Amino acid sequence: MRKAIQLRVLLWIEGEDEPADDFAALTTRAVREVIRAGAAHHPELRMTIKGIREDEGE
Amino acid sequence: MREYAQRRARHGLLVYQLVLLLILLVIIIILIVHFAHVAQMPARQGAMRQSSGALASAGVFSLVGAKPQPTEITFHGCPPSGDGGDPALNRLKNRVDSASYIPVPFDSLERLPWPRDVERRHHTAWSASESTAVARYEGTPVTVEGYLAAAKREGPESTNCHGADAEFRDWHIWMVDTRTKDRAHSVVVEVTPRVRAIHPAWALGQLTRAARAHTPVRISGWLLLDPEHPEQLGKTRGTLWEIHPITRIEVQRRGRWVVLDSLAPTSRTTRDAKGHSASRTALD
Repeated sequence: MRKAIQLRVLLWIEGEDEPADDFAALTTRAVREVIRAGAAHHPELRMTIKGIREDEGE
Repeated sequence: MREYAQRRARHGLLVYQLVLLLILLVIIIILIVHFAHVAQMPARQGAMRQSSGALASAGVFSLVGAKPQPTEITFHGCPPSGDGGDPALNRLKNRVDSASYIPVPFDSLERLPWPRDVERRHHTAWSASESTAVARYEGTPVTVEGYLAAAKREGPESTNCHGADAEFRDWHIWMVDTRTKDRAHSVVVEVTPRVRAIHPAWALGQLTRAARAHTPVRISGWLLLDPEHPEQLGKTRGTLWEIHPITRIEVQRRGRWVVLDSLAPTSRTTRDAKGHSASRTALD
């Protein structure tokens, strides 16, 4: 049976960066790379990143 | 002679008919213009959120003369424009100046209109008319009386260069006009790290306790439209207009307004489960 799921993942990422550098862009790129690299460990699953958006609270 | 008189009479009749036709045309044009204007009115009102009753309240804001240019500072290396997001919005949130505040009734603030199309869009994408509509109120130094519904520490955000430590995080506060109202009818008012650095005696614990005790508060600061969270309207906020940043906090004690700075936290400091300190003050 073919199955599919849409997951929302809430990630907290910390790291050192220059104050004025775009941390959202840096972390978004990093998360894309992490998911792509990790997906290779599960060839039975086809993973598609539909979007990554910062959760800026309220 | 008779033929001449008949010709003149015919000519006169023609002129009379032409004048009648012209008058009729003018009346038709006036009616068309009038009905076209009436037909456009709902569409115009729809483009502005919360226009009902706003014009009456807008009168308060006409008291403002020239609005002062924001004073901005770099905070621990973080520039006024932050590290991403909407740099223009971040600069407004990161101002540190104060002014003579204009007393504004709570409901006037809650009913201020804004152009619907600016929601979730950066300032650079706004049209000239949208920018003008927002600028009519934004940057006004206001003071509002009410109660606090709740207060909490905000998460890391581009405004504060995503600083992870508590020192870099805003305090997100929900203000209401009566003790019984919930956040759905609140105006969001925010304490920023840069202004907090000028008021080291301010403590988040003081505000959460003022909320719990329903202590009357007077909040002063800069009027700002935050277009980023329209999905919260009617749930955890009543308007996208905020007082942001707050530059003065007063609480009522025995019928008098007292600045929060004078209620310095005592040495009785407690820590919550996450290690955040909460000092007990005269508000307890």
